[in-house]
Amino acid sequence: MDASFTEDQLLIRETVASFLADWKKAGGYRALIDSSLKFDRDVWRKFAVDLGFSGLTIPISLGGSGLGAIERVLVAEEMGKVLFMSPYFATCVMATDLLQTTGGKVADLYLAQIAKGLRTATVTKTDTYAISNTFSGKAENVIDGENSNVILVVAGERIIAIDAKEKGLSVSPVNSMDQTRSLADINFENTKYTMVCTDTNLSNKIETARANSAITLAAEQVGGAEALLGITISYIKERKQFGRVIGSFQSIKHRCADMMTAIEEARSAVYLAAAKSKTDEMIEYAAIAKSVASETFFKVAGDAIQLHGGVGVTWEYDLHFYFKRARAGLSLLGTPEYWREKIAESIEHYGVEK
Amino acid sequence: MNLDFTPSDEAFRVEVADWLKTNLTGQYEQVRYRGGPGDDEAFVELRKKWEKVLGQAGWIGLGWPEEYGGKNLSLSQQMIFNEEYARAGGPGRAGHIGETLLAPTLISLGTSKQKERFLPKIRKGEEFWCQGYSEPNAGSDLANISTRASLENGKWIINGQKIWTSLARDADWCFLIARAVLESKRREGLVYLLVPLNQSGVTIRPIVQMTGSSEFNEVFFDNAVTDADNIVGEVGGGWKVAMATLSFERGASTLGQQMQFKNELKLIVEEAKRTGAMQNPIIRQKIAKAWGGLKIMRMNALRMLGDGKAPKLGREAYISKLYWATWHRDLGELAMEVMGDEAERISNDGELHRLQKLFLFSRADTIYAGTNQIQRNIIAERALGLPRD
Repeated sequence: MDASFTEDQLLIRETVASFLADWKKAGGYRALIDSSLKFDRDVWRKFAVDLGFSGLTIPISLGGSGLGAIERVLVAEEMGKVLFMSPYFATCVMATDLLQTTGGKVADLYLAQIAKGLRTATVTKTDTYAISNTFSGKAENVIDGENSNVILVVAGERIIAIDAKEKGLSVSPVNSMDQTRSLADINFENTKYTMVCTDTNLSNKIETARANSAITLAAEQVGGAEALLGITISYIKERKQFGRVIGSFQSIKHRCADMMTAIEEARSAVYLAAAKSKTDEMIEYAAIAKSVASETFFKVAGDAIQLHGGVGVTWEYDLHFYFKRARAGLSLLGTPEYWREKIAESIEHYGVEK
Repeated sequence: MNLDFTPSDEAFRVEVADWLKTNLTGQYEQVRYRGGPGDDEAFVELRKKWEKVLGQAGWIGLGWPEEYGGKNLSLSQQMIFNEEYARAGGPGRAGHIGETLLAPTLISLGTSKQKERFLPKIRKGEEFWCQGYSEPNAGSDLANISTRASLENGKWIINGQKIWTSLARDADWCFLIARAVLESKRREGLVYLLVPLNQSGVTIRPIVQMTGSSEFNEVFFDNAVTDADNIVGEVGGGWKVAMATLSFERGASTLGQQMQFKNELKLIVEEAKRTGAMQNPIIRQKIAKAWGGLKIMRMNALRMLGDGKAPKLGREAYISKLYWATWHRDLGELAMEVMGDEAERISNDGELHRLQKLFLFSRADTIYAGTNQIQRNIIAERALGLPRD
């Protein structure tokens, strides 16, 4: 039993943290949002190709690093702290998890390209479609829909891959409240596709992939909440009212204590889920992590605004970016209620022992 | 990060489970799942007898060094013992205050004579202890101690009152802090004394709680006496010793406590299925949340354990009490919810249902051993570095 991280894992975390600190220093998400860019291609190339992070969890045989969920949650936590805007989540989490869960020749081909940093990808699901030799349909709120080279579409009992350059595909960016994660609507009209997987057991595989991605999303949320706690603590140690720093008032201190408690609770949930991600209980553990971390992030973001007082609601302060991201993250990949219902079903069938 | 215990730890787990299966039988069958927090009055004599059985088999003092008759087991094996003990429904430990609080204090700060006199009897389950810290005016503000101790003719004479003393009526001895230096203030001038309870100068009065039972007591000292060498540490050094004792409170027992919680959650789920509450989507959410909380609590404990070498005082340690106490209080409310109409009915013999007891007693969880408010102060000041008021 050893609940601590290995030196290699800590080194990965440090590498990412220092890379992201530079990114933030150079303007971070503010610079991108102001210039209406979704991500910086140079930054992505350095991160994905030079540092090799796009293949973090992809097997070595496909050109990746062959690492696991623990390494990825450490990376995601750092990204969450600075609201890193990049194709990482859609490509290296959602698409990678789906491709790794389904497997097969086509999936391996895409995974090898993702590992090399040559491809960005995303995942979407649609219920309004027609499929024959070509695919027609539409998908909404596709994460990174605008800047992914390949779109994986879950349509009924199959997963297909569509190259973004194919004819008949049109992308319209969504003006999303959370500006740090880009969304798009995509329309397909008699578009050529490649079959990735067709399987009667597909819904279980998709659920497993989704749960895996949810663990990493939860880690991002812990990072976001942690950053907000740090910002808030610095502020209340400086800000004076009634002749003393407001961080000395119990009503404020107690709220910060609750923020920290919620963050550590979520952090334990995330590390536990990552450690259990290869077991047959992974859905339940992912369910705990996603429900707890997304609620924690949202609560902490609200608290951070409240403790900043008036400046907390201004555009100038960074808090609202986190707050909006936290709100979007509550529903992304399943709401807390959805995941807790999964747990309830498990308890109903297996009791509390599982 | 590897959350699996080692093969030798797992072998130890099997050894503990097997022993309990063989020994927690016969007359001890009736004390299974009894005598825990909120149920301390149940089967006291039988539970004390059980302590002797544990002692003879070498299950007391697992973490103590071998020179004091302990097994010097790793923290992870101590945790495993507690987890298996609770899983098997092992009765509430009548001797845990002596074993887990006083003994480590004596081992690190006691004299060799004190170790010789007190440790063997704790290890054999023959002497029982209680803790005399809180007073009517020294609760959260523990340093405001007013119980007096003075050294007269080679004896300590103690006068004053302690309160909220768990297990006092079942204890033979009390370790307490008292003010020994006249006019001293706060943390200065205190002594940490070991005082026998079976004497005319000591009166113990149970406090009837909202459960109708009395787990807590008042202890009055009226010229009570103890030998001059029954002081741990120096005159004026009582605070330091008292704090050392509290630092031993963390750690090994947490997995056992969590297993008890799991047993309770299991009862709640069974009850929810019986009453039909399990079909209520809101109840389902709450049950799922409670289950997740338990897993988180266990992970928190494992994070505290870290690489198993020495428990760290990280953030996960700071939140431990606040988190479990609040979780458990919420569980008590959930227990009543799943019972439906029956929640309000008490059986004709006056005995509370285990879930009703859980509901009422768990209100104390967020108060004793540092209230939620005090825990938040500690987190804010020590873990987050915010200024004192």
